[in-house]
Amino acid sequence: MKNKIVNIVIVISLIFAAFFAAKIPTMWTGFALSSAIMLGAILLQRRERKALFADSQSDALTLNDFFSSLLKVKEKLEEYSKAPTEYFTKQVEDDLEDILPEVDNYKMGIIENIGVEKYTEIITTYANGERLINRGVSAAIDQYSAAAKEYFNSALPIVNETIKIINKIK
Amino acid sequence: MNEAIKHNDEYFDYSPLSIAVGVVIGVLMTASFSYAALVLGFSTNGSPVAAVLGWGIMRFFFNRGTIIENNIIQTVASGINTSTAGVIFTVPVLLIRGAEFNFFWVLAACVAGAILGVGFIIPLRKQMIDVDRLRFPSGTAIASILKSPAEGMKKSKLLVAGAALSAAVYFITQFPVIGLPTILPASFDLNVLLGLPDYFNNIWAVSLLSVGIGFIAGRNGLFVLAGGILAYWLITPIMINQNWLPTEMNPSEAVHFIHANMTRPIGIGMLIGGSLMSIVLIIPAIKATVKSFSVKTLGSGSSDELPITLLYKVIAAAFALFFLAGYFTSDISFFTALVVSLVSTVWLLFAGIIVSQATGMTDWTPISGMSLIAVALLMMFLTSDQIVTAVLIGAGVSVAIAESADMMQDLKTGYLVGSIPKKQQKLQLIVAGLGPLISISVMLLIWNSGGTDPVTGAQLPGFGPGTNIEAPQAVALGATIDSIVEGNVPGDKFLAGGIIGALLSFTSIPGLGVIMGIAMYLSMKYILPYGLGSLIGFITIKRKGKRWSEKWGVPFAAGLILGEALLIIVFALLKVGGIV
Repeated sequence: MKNKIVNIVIVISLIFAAFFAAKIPTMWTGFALSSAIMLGAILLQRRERKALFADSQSDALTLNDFFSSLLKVKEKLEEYSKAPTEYFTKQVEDDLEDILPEVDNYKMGIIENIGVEKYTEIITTYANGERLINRGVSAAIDQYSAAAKEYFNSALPIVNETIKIINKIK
Repeated sequence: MNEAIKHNDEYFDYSPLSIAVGVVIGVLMTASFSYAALVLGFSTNGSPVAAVLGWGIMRFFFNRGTIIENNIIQTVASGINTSTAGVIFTVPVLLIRGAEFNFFWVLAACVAGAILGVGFIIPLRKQMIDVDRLRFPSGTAIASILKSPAEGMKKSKLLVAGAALSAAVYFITQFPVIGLPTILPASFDLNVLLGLPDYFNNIWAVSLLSVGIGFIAGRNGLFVLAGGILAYWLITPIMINQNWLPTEMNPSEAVHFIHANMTRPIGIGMLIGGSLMSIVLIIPAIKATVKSFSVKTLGSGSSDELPITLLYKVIAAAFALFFLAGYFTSDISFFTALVVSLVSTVWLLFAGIIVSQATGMTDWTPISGMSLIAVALLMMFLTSDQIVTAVLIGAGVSVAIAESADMMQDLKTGYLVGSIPKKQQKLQLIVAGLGPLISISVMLLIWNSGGTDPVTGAQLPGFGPGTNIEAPQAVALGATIDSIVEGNVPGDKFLAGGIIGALLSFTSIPGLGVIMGIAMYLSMKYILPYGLGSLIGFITIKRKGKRWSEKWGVPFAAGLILGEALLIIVFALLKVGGIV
């Protein structure tokens, strides 16, 4: 409820700020007042968001959730390392569909949990692995099965490295 | 051998053949788009069409072509084609105004702009794609187009169905162009049905391409729609109703006046302020990203990124080139040339970030707004006799911005299909200079087709006011330059917009200032179908889930983008051939 009120205040102050800004000549007093109200509401909104991600009972996705999904990716890649080359056809795309984490969904939670610098350290490492997985999927779709297996194998140490970084941070 | 395994060869990113195919497609598209941009005043993203053409050519003529190889074809083709708008929307103004200038420096500025645009985004790829996870809707759509043919019949059918539908709709809207009666107009005013006043801007472009892009843009597209509503359905009607306009004007003039003098400058300010705030908020992330450049990948012992040191060389080259171009094209002092080149280089770097963010979040590239700021900044140090320098550097900046946006889209596609970024960037660096060369050649050819005056022997204009080819964007830029020279720069609107943009980007929605800024800047005609697409996307995700939307919705949306883009090119070619 509190969040909704804050959001409504932001929207209303934005409309007023934009309106005062658009007028010729610009109405600076009205603009400054509505911008100040908007800033106050935004600061409240940021505080609320921090509290939301800190609350372990909330539904917000956090670093721990990301960590759990990485363990599943690791498990799948380990399974792939033992699979015969013939296995790597376009079906791997469906295989991985529910396992690969949508980083975008975890991003804000991780940043609120550990800060943007550490998020970047984790995600730049993981992204190298994710791109290799994507390449493996493309190769599998194109029926370059041996190459696909090789790319999945190369992605595994990078995913392990990401898990190690998260463990260190946690 | 198991039937599933067809290839045990190495999975190449590119071959001489794929590069050649990309170059041929890129050259053809650039030539036709350059002409169309002079006539119609717009250019379009050629990547979806290049992706499909590349796949078709490789598959049917050479019986080969993988997903990542086709990605290189579209990267090369769009890398050549993308500079069209930057050249055609700026350089013709020099010819139309009868300015004296050396073509070598124009070409040099544009070629350099193209290379700089690719170079400047070296550190941004990791930041915006790996870390910020920006959507880049066209890049996402092209990844879907590249994968669909091999992924199976269901997805291919969806892609083809989307393409057929949007191509059919676009074709029907073009009936008057081919001499048939209008059945479906290219745009319609919903106010006619709703009985709302004229100043309530409710014109919809009939563009399934915009709907498709909006669908893929997702939640950000809804914020674009919100920005459009703020500019066109709140500010505009209130301004008109309260009679708060400087002079008496009719509703349609008032709508145009408010957009040109109030909401659009605020939008440009919001783009700048919003982007600045985003940068401030992610400074620690940028540091960590730069540090990560040394990470080795692919088990090859080398990084998949171009070295960050190349960026420093690119900055030095940009500064040197802008200095030379400025110093040799107008009668300006050494010191002024130094200041102008410094301002241009810094602005180019900053504009590259703004444009990459805007494109990544919404798919819209605010080239003309960023070029306008470039010219306005330069005119602070130049006089009205030195406009050639401002336009020339403005052209370089425009080309660079367009190239940056395209490279980022291509790199997003590359990320999704697993291409190696370094290889994509290297190739685009090599071919990017071809685009300006072709565009300028086409422009000169058309200019010279005007012939000479039989009495005076003077060169007659081949395009511009009073000819069949109006070059509307260049004419508009000319008017803007005149306005800037007269001192009509809406600095207060830029400043207020900057503050609003910064505040919005400080909210819990990353980059909101940039997203809403682009909405204030754009025409409502395209925001509406784009917003509709986002709304459909939003409802689809709510009802069916994100995975379902990605798996089935994105291929169909990609088809919508592809079909219309294909037909736009067909009509451009028909125009070039004089058939329509």
